[in-house]
Amino acid sequence: MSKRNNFIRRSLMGVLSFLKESVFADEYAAKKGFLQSLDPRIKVITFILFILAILFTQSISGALYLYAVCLILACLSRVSMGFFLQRTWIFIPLFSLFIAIPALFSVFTPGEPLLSLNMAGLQLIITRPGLSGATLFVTRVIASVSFAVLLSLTTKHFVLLKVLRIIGIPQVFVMTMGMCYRYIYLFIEMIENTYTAIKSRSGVNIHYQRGQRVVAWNIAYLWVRSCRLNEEVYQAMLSRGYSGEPAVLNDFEVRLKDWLWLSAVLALVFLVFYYG
Amino acid sequence: MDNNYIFELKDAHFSYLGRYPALRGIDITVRQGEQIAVIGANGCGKSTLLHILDGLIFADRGSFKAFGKELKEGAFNRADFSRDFRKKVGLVFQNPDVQLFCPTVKEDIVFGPLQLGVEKGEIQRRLEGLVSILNIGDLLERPPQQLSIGEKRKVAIASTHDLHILEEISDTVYVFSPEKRIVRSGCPHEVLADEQLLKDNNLLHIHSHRHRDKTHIHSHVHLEHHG
Repeated sequence: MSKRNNFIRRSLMGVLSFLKESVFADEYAAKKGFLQSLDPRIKVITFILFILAILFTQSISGALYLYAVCLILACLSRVSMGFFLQRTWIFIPLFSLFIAIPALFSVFTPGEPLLSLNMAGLQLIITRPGLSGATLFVTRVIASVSFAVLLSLTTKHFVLLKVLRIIGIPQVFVMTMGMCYRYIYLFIEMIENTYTAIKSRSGVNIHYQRGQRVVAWNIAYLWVRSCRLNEEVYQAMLSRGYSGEPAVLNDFEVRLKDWLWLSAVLALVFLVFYYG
Repeated sequence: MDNNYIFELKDAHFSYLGRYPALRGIDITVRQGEQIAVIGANGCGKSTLLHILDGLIFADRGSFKAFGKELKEGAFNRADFSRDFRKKVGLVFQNPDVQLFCPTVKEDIVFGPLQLGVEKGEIQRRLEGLVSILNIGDLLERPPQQLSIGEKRKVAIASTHDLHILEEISDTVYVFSPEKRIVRSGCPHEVLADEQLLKDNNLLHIHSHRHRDKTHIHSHVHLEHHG
């Protein structure tokens, strides 16, 4: 009984702590590194260029070269390499590896045989074009994911949201996203506090059926609180002059360094396409 | 403006969902420069009254004048009137998490002036002034959720406009001079719960330790629970 109860507690606390650490940690974004010093708009544009170059390059060496650039940028931006590799190599690249496996074989990619495997009477042939295609696919995924992760690590989330405006996302949508981000944290705290309150009144070992009832009741209560908060926040917005068309402060500043960086990236991308 | 009143509420009635009465026949007048405290038990309608004064909700019955003009819900459909009123009146909500909805402190402080069309140079000047007065320079780039409750209250006050209506002064309140200079900060519950103060017919002198200045809460409104 207590094991099941512990399972709920551990899951809840694990999810909350993961959310806090992954979504709300601005540790690297607050550091004084190369990428952190760039104008966020220019940084996003250059990262989109990098990712487009990775997606359109036909050579593995080109994609690997850009991946190396990404790792160098991570070092220059004072991002811990262990942490970065851990973030970028789990889940999506591994998942892509599984997706790429069938492409290795002659069934899907015919061509020059490279290796022949005999599994339970079934002959599987790995072809050279298959291996090349699968490697290119996985390399592209790893490099693209690495750039995306590096961008999110070195840019504060609310700044990234503001940058969405440069690609034409309506202001009201950006503002709503920012508020969601702001209030998810509040709800996480509410859940933690509620759980602590339950623990202080009921003790740690409560019957799992009662635990389920408490969790269900809390989900409903959180919903009611979120509805109430929604109304109150809207009133607070009205009180401060909001009339349906949000105006926001644009405090970005493009300097010479940003233009130099943009030029360098354009040159790099051109070289990758030209030689790759 | 009649008698220099900024708010005149007469015989105000309000009920939630038309069934749960919150205010019954409230009369209140507030003059320019006057500071008042609204005192009453939990659930007696203090917040409701303040929300009416801020034009967020409207009395079911009775009349409400703000700055000498009748205030009705339809008036806020006029952009010029709405902007003018919001520029003058700012409500500091009971829960700072309601008030601070932007991703950073800086954006929260400039949100109001930006919506009200204040010129950008003026916004910057105001921001610098508030940062220096409230000593919140270190907080500007931080998300509101990472602040302590005291810091949140400071920022909530910084994010409002000229006239402050402070809702629920629960732990620390900052009393401002007209120039938004803090003349007193502290726990007002102890002061306002002082029976002598209430008997003293509504006059309160708060001596500032920092500025050796004085400010006054001239009167109080005592709301009674309707049961």
